[in-house]
Amino acid sequence: MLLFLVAGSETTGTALSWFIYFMSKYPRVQAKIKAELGDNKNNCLTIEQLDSLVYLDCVLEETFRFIPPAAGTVRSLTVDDRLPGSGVQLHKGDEIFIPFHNLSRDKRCWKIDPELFYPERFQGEDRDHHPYGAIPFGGGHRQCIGQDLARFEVKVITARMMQYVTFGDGGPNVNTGGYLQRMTTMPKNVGVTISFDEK
Amino acid sequence: MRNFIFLSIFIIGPEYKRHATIVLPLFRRSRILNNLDLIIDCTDKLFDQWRSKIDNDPNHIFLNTVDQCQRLILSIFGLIGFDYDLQVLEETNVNNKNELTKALYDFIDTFVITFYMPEFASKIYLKISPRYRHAMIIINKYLNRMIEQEQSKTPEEIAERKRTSLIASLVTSIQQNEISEATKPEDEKKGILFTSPILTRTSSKEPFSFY
Repeated sequence: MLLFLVAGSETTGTALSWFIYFMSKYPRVQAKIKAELGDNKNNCLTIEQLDSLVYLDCVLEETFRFIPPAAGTVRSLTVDDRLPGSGVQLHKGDEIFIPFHNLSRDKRCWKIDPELFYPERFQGEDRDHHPYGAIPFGGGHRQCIGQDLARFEVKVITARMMQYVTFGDGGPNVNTGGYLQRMTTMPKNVGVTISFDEK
Repeated sequence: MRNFIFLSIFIIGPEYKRHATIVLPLFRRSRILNNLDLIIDCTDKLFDQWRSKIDNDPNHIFLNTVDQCQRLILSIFGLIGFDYDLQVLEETNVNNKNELTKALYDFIDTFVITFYMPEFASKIYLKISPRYRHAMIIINKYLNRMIEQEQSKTPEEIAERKRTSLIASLVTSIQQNEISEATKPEDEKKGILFTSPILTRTSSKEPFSFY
């Protein structure tokens, strides 16, 4: 139960924190999400409305790619292997760490500079990105079991937030971002203004 | 690295299949969609807190959104997974870290310290760390409450709910005779055993605790 409680809250909460930080830093992206919400801006959310928010999907995908909440995952080798680039010999039973952040910032996996926070990449040049470029929940049959729940929670909450509030940059002294590495990679300094939109 | 919290991540073979049979169906998208209104309600509670701050100071700069996001998700997960209101979004807890969230922070912080230790060293460290031990007492208190709330339901209610509720599924998976179940070959075991060498329960009503 403790595992579920920790894994279910810390990771998703971190993703949500980064979303708020990015909205405060990228007002263009925030305005575009609100534009997509359009007439639904102050109505109740339904599953159909949520599914129609494809730009928000891109923003969330970019949030997970830019700063994957989990640093990586571990896999056990079932056979001996050798890394093609370095020639390092690996043996059956070895446990290897797969760092998500390195993959999502690897220029070989992305056509648009991966150092840019640019959600539109998933609608354009990077729509068919390298399959291992963005695996924030791991991959294969042992990928994160809570992935669907986490994605759903984040989408509902962020859509609701964008229906009602606008995040602003709290200034260079308090909204500096940075990383705080705990079990997840959290934003270190977030200072935002919050205003409720006119109805 | 094969230490406590990663037990569930590292388990393989029949043991993994046994755990997966209980847990995986509950996380399918079709089961999750029913929680839309619950998530919205919790988010709206957070809005109320933001509004009260802005009413006092329209230019207020929020420095605690990271903590608030953790709280929001914790609250939602408590309700979805355990059908239990952890009350971490209550107005009275806005400025003071809630007891449970602080305990979870302490638990994670001490866990991260042991992350790169050999297993024997991490066991010793956690046994003598007052911060970790205090955090586990608080966390176990809440987990006990969740289990007791679930066990207060009738067997019929629990059986009905185990298809959609994580806590109901976990509670129904507890073996009547764990020692007997633990001695069976792995591929004959059923449910989740709480008396494994690494995860242990101290009484029939207590959730599993580490070491």
